[in-house]
Amino acid sequence: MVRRLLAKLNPISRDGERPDHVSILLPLLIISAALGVLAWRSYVLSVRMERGANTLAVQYASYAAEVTARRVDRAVQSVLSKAVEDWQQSERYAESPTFTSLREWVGSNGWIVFAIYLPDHDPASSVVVSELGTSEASKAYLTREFFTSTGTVRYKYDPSRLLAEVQPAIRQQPVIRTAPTRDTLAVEQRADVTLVQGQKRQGLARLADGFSFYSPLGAPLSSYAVRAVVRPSYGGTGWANQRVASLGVSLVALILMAIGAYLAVRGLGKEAEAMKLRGALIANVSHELRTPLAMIRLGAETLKRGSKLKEKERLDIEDQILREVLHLSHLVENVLDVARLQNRSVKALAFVPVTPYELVTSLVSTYDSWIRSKGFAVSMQIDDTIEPQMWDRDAVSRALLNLIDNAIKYSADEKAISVFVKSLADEVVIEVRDRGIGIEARELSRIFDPYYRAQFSDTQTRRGAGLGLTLVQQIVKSHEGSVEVESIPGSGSTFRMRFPRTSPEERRALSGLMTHSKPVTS
Amino acid sequence: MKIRLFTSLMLVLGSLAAASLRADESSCHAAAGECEHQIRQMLAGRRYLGLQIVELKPGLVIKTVLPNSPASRVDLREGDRLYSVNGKSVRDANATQFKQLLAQAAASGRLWLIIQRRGSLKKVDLRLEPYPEDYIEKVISSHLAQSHTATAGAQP
Repeated sequence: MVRRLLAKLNPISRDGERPDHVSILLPLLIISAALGVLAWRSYVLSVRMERGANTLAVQYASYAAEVTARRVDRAVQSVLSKAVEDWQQSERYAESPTFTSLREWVGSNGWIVFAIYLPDHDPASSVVVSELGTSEASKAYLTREFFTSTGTVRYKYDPSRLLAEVQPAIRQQPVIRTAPTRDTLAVEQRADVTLVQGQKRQGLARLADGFSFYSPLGAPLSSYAVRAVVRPSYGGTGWANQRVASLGVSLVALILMAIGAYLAVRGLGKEAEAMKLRGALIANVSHELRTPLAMIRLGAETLKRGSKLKEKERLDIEDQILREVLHLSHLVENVLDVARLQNRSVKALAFVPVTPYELVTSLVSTYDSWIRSKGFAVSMQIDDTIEPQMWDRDAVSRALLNLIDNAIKYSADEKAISVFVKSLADEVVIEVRDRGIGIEARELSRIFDPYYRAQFSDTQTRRGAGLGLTLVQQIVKSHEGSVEVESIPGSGSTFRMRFPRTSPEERRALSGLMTHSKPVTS
Repeated sequence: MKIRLFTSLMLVLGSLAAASLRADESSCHAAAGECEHQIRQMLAGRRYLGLQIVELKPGLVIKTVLPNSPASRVDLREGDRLYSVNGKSVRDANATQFKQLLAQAAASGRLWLIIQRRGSLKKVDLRLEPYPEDYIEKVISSHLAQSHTATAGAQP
């Protein structure tokens, strides 16, 4: 089961067939899944950390509120009991408290607004002190009473003024602060503690950016509450939020993974193309080698057996054998040259002064009978004023011959070839133009690749190894020139070899160099 | 020399008197009606017993029984020692604690005391009563006379 799965995953090693994208995408998919698991895990962890920080904040808020509330309670109680003690103190000095002593007492406790003293011996002789301002009836004053040995004191007081007395108890804030170091999470718990009135709510309340905890004060100020607000520093907004950060990191990782997958698939495509070309080489070359060999063998056998052959037939067979041998040697030369130039072994390119006019005309005249036998006519327009160039005569001849050969091979009805040799400012251009079948635009960029053959409906009937144009390009490049092609499918192609023009001085220098180095390079 | 001393003394006394007078005048800023309302509010809900007691450390003894008070309508006399209030012992209590017990009983108004008179214990049942209206009137009028002298005529 596993082995079958693995075999499916690895079709390259199975029998060398073209690898498909699944084999490269599946491992990447598995890695992506692993990354996804990691991202999910880190997300969960950061959520958990945030939850922990929130719990801490909640606890801290409740602690701060509770502690502050109890402290305020204690302060209130101490203020209240101090008032009682004050009164008892004054009662001790005056046998029977009077209006004046009550007024002094009220004056020394600013939060009391109204007081009445009821002596036990005569309630009708109570004394009243009022600090009420005008129109204060609506204020929520609280009433309180206490007993002394001689009577009872009842008073009304303003709770907000009383709380103002104990304000220092609220301002003291317990603060937990952990200095953030490199390795620890920054936890700075700071509670904003305030006193609120008329809050019915109690306990925890969630805010947009934190938590608040309400802790009501004890009697008699139970309508007041201490509110502590804690804003945890952990769960920020935007990129400060750990959740967002971890999601962002995983997103980046996934993007990188996708880029990697794309590159791998592209590389795989190139590899597949190279393998296809190698396969094409074997098929082409073996076919190209077999056909002439079969022809030669057939001819030789006929000659050996046929003593009754006529003179004409025998000559034909001999011609055929010769032609096939030439073809074969041409092919082998091509393969060898390409291999040599490809490996950049310094092939003995012998740069000698060559006159373009002379080179082209002699080549065409040499192959004139062959070209005519194919039914082609060559027209030439050659600028014969071009001075000799430093070229390798054999190589340039071969390149031109290959272009002419191609023109002949890929022509249909209009059998016309034109060869131009032009002289530009700093270039010498050799141009071969045919009226052949042309090349599709999408194939133009690949026709110079080794073993690549443009796809035509009848590619197989045209002989060739896919090396001719490769060789042309390599030869021109070794002359530091360039090859251009223009083609219109159905109406012909134009190949243009551009050689840099060598000036007479250079030519002299080069020729000197060449004559010296010739023994070494040859 | 003597005259100088006298004048300075008079000045000091005068300024003191002026200060106290000013304090008197500024003691109550609210309207007289408002003060009256407050005093009624403070006293209306009150139930009182009408006993004046002294602490004997330990123990509490009745000093006076107010005439026409709830305490005067039952058999309570000067010199009675208080033993318990509503079943709670006050033998070691002070006056404040006794009054707090009374305040607790004020909600229902019912009260039973155990007292000791000449060696024998006695149970007394009684009810706390609100302050009589004339008491309250008296308190209000004395307050108005004391703190609202300047504005009494203007206020209703």
